[in-house]
Order: sequence, then structure tokens, then C-alpha cells
Amino acid sequence: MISVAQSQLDSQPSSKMTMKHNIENGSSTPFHSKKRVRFASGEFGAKATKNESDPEDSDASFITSTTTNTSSKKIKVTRPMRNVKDFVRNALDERANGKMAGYEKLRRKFQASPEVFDEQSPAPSSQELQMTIKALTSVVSRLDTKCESLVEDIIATNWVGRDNMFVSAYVKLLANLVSAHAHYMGSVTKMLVQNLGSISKVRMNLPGYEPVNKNTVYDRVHFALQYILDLVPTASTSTLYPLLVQCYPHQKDNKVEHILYVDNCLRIIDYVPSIRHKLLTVIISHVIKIDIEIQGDLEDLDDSVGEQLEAEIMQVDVEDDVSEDEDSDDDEEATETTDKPEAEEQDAEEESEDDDEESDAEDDFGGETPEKRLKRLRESVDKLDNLLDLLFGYYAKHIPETEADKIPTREVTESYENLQSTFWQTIFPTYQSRYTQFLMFWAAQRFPHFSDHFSALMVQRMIDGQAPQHTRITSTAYIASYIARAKTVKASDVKSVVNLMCRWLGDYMNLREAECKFPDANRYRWFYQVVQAVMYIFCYRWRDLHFLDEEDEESIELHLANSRSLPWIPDLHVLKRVIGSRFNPLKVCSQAVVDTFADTAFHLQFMTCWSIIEENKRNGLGPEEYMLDCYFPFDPYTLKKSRRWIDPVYIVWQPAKPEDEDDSDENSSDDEDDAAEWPYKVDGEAEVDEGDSSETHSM
Amino acid sequence: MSDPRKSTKGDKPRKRKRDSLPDSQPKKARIEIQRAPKIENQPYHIVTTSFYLSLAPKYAFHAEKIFPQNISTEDDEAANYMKSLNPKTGIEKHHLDPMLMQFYEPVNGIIIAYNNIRFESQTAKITAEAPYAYVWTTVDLLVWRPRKEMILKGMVTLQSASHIGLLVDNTWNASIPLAKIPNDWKFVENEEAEEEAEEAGLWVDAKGDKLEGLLRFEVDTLKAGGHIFAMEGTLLNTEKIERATLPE
Repeated sequence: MISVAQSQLDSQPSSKMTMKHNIENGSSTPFHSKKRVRFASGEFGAKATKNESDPEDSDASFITSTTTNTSSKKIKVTRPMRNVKDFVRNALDERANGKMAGYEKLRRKFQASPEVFDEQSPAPSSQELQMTIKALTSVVSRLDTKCESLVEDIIATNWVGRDNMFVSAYVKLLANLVSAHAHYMGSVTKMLVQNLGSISKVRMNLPGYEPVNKNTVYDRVHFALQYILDLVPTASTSTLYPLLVQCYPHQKDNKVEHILYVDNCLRIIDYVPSIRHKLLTVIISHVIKIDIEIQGDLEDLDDSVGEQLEAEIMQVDVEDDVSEDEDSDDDEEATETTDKPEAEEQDAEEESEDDDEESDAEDDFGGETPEKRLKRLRESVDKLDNLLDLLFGYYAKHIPETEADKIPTREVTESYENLQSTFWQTIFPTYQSRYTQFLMFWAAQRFPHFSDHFSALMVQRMIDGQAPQHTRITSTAYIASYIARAKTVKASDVKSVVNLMCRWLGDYMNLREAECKFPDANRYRWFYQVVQAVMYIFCYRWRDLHFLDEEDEESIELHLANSRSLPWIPDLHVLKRVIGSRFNPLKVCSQAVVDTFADTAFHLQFMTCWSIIEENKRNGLGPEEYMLDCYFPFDPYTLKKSRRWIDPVYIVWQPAKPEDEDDSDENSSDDEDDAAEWPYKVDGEAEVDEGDSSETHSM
Repeated sequence: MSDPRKSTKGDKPRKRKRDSLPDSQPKKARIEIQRAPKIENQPYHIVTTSFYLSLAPKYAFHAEKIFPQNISTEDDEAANYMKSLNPKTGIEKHHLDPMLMQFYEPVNGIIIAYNNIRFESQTAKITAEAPYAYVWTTVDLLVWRPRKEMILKGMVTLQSASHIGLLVDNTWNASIPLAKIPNDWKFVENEEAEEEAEEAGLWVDAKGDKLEGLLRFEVDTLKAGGHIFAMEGTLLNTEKIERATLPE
């Protein structure tokens, strides 16, 4: 240090300075006397320096401070600052005249990586670079397209891992840069956006700097982004948004990458409201891709393993090691096979089909072992869980919970409407996504007003003859699942929706019963879907479909004990007519729904349909592809972390008749596949039934 | 849906191809009326322009006319949706909306808004094997088009020793480089510039007034294309700037 100061003293009279002196004061970087670039100071651009304090004064103080206290970092930097300024000016002037030496030296300052310590060409110290940055800030209008290479180096330099002083100087330079030259906006924004994912540890722990943590880095990036967007507001839609879309992590990228990126995007839309809706749609459409991928992988797996895994993955700790999981899979398979003896031919066929599928799947995955696949699947599930949790958190902030009967504010309604439009655009048309739609399920229940609107829209689409078949059928599944599962939907609303559906069924019957010769699943699919929806809702919400006091368990018991029918809502009785008609919906609807409905309806003495079911079985159920799917979008939400948002507003399956009486009936389905989707297996009570599920068929 | 215009052979590409222009912009356009601004220094113009635009089948009918029996007269959502499927919405969604806030060369400015869509003919034409119908559409565009030597005023957002950054109408950024600032203006560096000071310093004009708030300047250079729009101003012509009358 002393040598630096002294050499500075020596050189002073001649007013010729060496670069190294100016820039290396206060740093511990080795001093190379060989690499000296000589230049005259005070020659250039008097304007910017004309208001600086008297150089003589500051010089004196500089020297005293360095010589007396060498370890101190607080050095008056006025004089060196001025020299750095001169150096920068000089370099740019030379550049304009075609001499590149100074300019290249300037570039090297930013190119030198602070991450590795290099004896030969040490990276410039923070202070040195800070001064260079400040000097560049004061000549920023000269950094036009001719100096693009320098600007690129500046943008590429590692700034997020350095000290606060450096960051503030750097951000100021960025701001000046985009303010003076709007065409740098693209590359500056891109650099900032690229810092929104995971950041390597090396970049945050620079030698010679205090290590910084991720949050500090993100705070810095957001600060810079906000700063430059204030200066160039048009860039938010024209530059920032496309870059955010472009840099979105790939579906296969790991969980951390996704979480960090989405979290940062959610931060951005708080201060860039103009891209909020668009960006949320992009995020949700990426989330739904992960969702579908998981469902696809689960289907590819052997059925039993898949089911087991689905239940396992979602409920058991995800960090569990793989081997343990495999064991339980094996167990599951073992029990399945031991349960099989009485299985019918059909089952056996299915088994073999499954085996084929499994081997096919294995071929598809090109040698990927099942363990690896399971592990990958678990990771995806975990990723989805965390992303949805983030989104729930975001929407919870923007659609806050308030007291009942309060009218939502305009902002809240807007957030909800935006989510809803994203839902229609992205989630609704996606076939068989499993979890993403719960965003809507949850948001609709925040206000009764929203819930009404959601139900009304769904019902309207369900019965809209103009809409494409796909829309009608999906809406039917949605409305059935929503009414059955949403806890905040009031009894009166359940009644009115079921009323509406039943009336529609009645009208349809009147219109078309005459033409119906046999249950034609393709021709009357719409109709069957609605029947299935009503049966499904009945199983879950029968307590809301009669006129007795809901709480009055005794009077229900009394009614049942006396073999008296409950006072059902009048329109519901059309269901009896529908089931007895030539449409014979019990033959076409999903057997899981049919069996549960039959059981519940029998127990509640609403109707008895065992005879029809039996007859249908005798006559053969027909090819499977004619059967309706047992797809209900709001099947139990089992993601470990984010279920905290759903559980409070979700109705879990409760059989009409107490468990201990007879717990085997409901599950006595021929179609194992459908039974799995039916809540028994996934819910808590599921385990109880499983053992003797296929042993007895109550007829 | 794939870009309909790509499949039409009859459509010749524009003579000068500019990479910065997004694909979504119409290939054929003619300007009908250039309403020259009556007021001096008015960067906002209304330009009536005609485009030769494709019409997707989804939007190529008027539901009320074709299926009047299916459209209930009541004000329900389904009916409104059907009614919304008309050629105008198609043109808006597919062609005009993507052009908003973009630089569009034929009108030589950034399109801020459109209004008053009308079709030149009653029918759209399907030429040869093209899958889409085409129609000449006339629309009034509100265009932001500052010209060189125009006087504008902007809010000062950033001051540094080498430039002044401005925001015109809270939207358009402009910068005045050092070379375009009069010599008798001075930059006063902030005393604590070395520390965490917010601003590096302030400019003081010839009269000694600090520079803050709105500043008038003369437009010097303009660069535009696609997403990027950059404007540079000058303060050298002090007299002209002071004399100029600005529209409110």
C-alpha cells in the first residue's frame, strides 16, 4: 500500500499518472509496475469535472489517509476517481479515433471473472470497478452502438454477488444506459431475467467479497428491474414479457428452478401490473403441463403400481427413499394377486393387458429402470405441489378472505375474473388434468358471489346445445364435481342446481324417449353424462336434497326406520323415471358411480335399482369404450404441501350408511380401474375396505 | 391455428423486409387519410388506414342473421357469445389487437388505439385455393408519431453528467445526450455522490434554475422498429423551444 502511495507521490509533479495507481488504491491486488499505461490527465472533457473540488486538497488528504492507516478501506477517492474518469474518457476518445488499446483494457476490466483468482491477471477490485462504473455513468451518452461490445461486457459481468456499494453503482449505470440508449433495454432486461432462476453458488461466493444469499440476489435484480422499467415503461410489455416467457424453465428442469422462477415472476407482476394477467396465464399453462405429464406417467405405469403410487406419493412423505417404496409396491401387488382367485375372466384378461402395457412402457422409456421412473415421478409431483402452493399463496393475497356476505372489491373481482378467463382458456380445455383446476375450485369459494357465478356458467355450458360436445361433457363433470365437493356451496344452491338438471332430464325424456330403442352411449352421451352427474351429486349431497332439517339426524333416522321415504325435492323423482326408462343409464354410466348410487339410494329408501343392475350384468355391459368416464375434476386433492388450501373447503366422502354396517358393498365394482378413481381408495377410509373389497358382491 | 397469411400465394411479401416487424402485421395496407395535425407539435395523429385482412371462418358470419332462431333475444351469455362472433371481432382479435403499442411502418408510428372498423365491400373474397376469406378493412388509428424538430415536453426521470432522461406523457422515454445540452448549462454533482445518494447530481440551466419536473425539448433523432422505440432530443435551439406552443 505504501509503495502505491509513494509512487503516486513521485509521479505527481509530472502530472503523469499510471493507471495502476489510481485504480488499485485501497485494494490488496498485487501491483504490477510493468503494465503501465501512461496518459495525461486533465486533458479531456472539462465539463464533467469542472465542479469537482480542488484537486490539490483532496490529493493531500488522500495521501495522508493511505500512508497513516494502510488497512483502512475508507479512503478519500476523489483524486483516483478523477483519474479513472480521465482514463475512461481517454479510452473512449481513442476508440473514436481508431485506437483500441485503452478501450480493450476497459473491456478486460469487465471481462475478468471475479470468481477465480488468477495470479497473472487479477480481476479488478470492487472499488476499482466501482469507480470505472461511475466514470462510465457520467459519460453514458457516449456508449452508443459503436461501444456495444463494451456494453455487452458490462452487462455480462457478475454484479449480483458483489457488495452493496458496487450493486448500487452498477444499477445506476444500467439505468443511465437504458435511459440514454433505449436499444440496450433488450439485453439489460434479458440479463436481469436470466438471474431469476437458480444461481450457482460460485457466483454468490466471490473471493474477496462477503458471500450473499439468494434472496439478496433476487432483491437486487428486482430493484434493478423496477428501476429501469420506471425509466422505460413501454418495455414491460414489449421486452420484459416476451423475455419472461422465453426464459421460463423447461418442464423437465428441476423443482428448485421452477419454484424460484415462478416466485420471482409473481414478485414482478406486483410492480408491473400491465403484464399480470398474461404472465399468470403463462405460469398456469406451464403448471398444467407438469400436471398432465404426471397423470400420463401414472397411467403408463402398471395399474396397481400406479394407483398405489398415486395414493402413496401424495400422502406419504415425499422424501422417503425409493427402496422402501418399492417394497410397499410389491406388497400391494402381492395382496392384489391373492385377492384375485374369485376374479372373473375379465379381470384375468385385464391383468395380461396390463402386463403388456407395462412391458411396452418400459420399452418406451428406453431402459429407464422402474426405480428411476418412480423417483422422477416423485420429483415431478413435488414440483407440482410446490408450484401450486405458490400460486395459491399468490391468489390468497389478491383474493383475500373476508366476512361472509361482503361484496368483493373491484380489484378482487378483477383478480378472480382474470383467473377465470385463464381457467377457460387453459385449464378447462385440458383433458384430465388432476390438480391445477383446484385453483378455480378454491377461488370460486372465496365469495358466495363467485361461487354462484361459477356454478351458473357451468350449468349454462352443460345444457347449451350449441356448444361442442366436449365442452358440454367437461362442464357436466365440473359442475357435478364442484357441487359435490365444494363445502361452501349452500344447501339451497345444491337444490337449485339439481332441480335444474332434473328438469332438463325430464324435458329430454319427453322429447326423445320415443325414439330410443336401446341404450346408445354415443347418441345420448350428453344425456347420460347429466344422469351420472345427478347420481354423483346425490351420493355426496343427499343431505341437502330433502326438506328435513339438516341437523336433525333423529328425524332422518326415524324416517328410515319407519320405511318412509324422505321428503325429497320433487324434481329429483324424475331420476326414477330416467333409470327405469329404455335409456337405461345404469348400463352406460360408470359402474363405480352406479354401484355407489344404488347403495346410497337403497339405504335412503329413495329407490331400489339392484334388479336393473343385475339384469344389465346378465346381458353384458357392452364394450368398455362405450361406458362413460368416471372423470370428476375435483377428486381428492392429495398433494402434501398445497392441500392446506383445499382441505378447509373440501367435502370428503362420507357413506350414507355407517361404515361398520356393511363396508364392502360400495367397492364391489367389477371395474377396478374406475373404483380407484372413486374416493374410497384414496381417502382415509379407503384402507379399511381394501382387504375384502372384491370378495363379496351384494346383489 | 396457423398463420393464415402464410398460406396465400397471391400475397406478395412487402418490398422492404424488416426483421424487426412481427409476423402478425398485415402485409398490405394503404393510407387513406392523413389528417395533418392542425396544431403544431402534436405527436398524436388519427390516420385512416385500409388493410387487406384475412378473416377466420369462426368469425366469418353474423350469427343473428344466419341462425336467428337459435339466438335468444334475452341477454344471456351464450347469445352474447354468439353475437360476438362477427367479422369485426375477428379483425380486432387477429389483426388489430396484436398491432397495438407496436411500431408500424406504413403509418410511421406506434399504434395506440383503433376505432371505427368498416369493410369496403359487403363480402369477403376467397381467392383460388386460399382457405381464408380476405377483405379490405378501413380503420381509424390513433398513432403516436413524433417528428424531427417537433417540440415536446417530458418529465425528467434521470439526470447524469452525460445525459438527461425524460418520459413524455408518462410513457415514451427520451434522452438528451450531453452534446445536445447547451454549454451554459451546468451539471452540479451531488455532494454525497460517492455514497448512497439517489441521484448523481442536478442540471442547472443558463438562468441558474434547477432542472426538475417538466422539460421542453426538440426531437432530434428517432429510431423505431418492432418493439424498440428510441427518441433523442436536443436543447440547443433554446429560442425555438421557448417560443413553441405546445398542445395541451
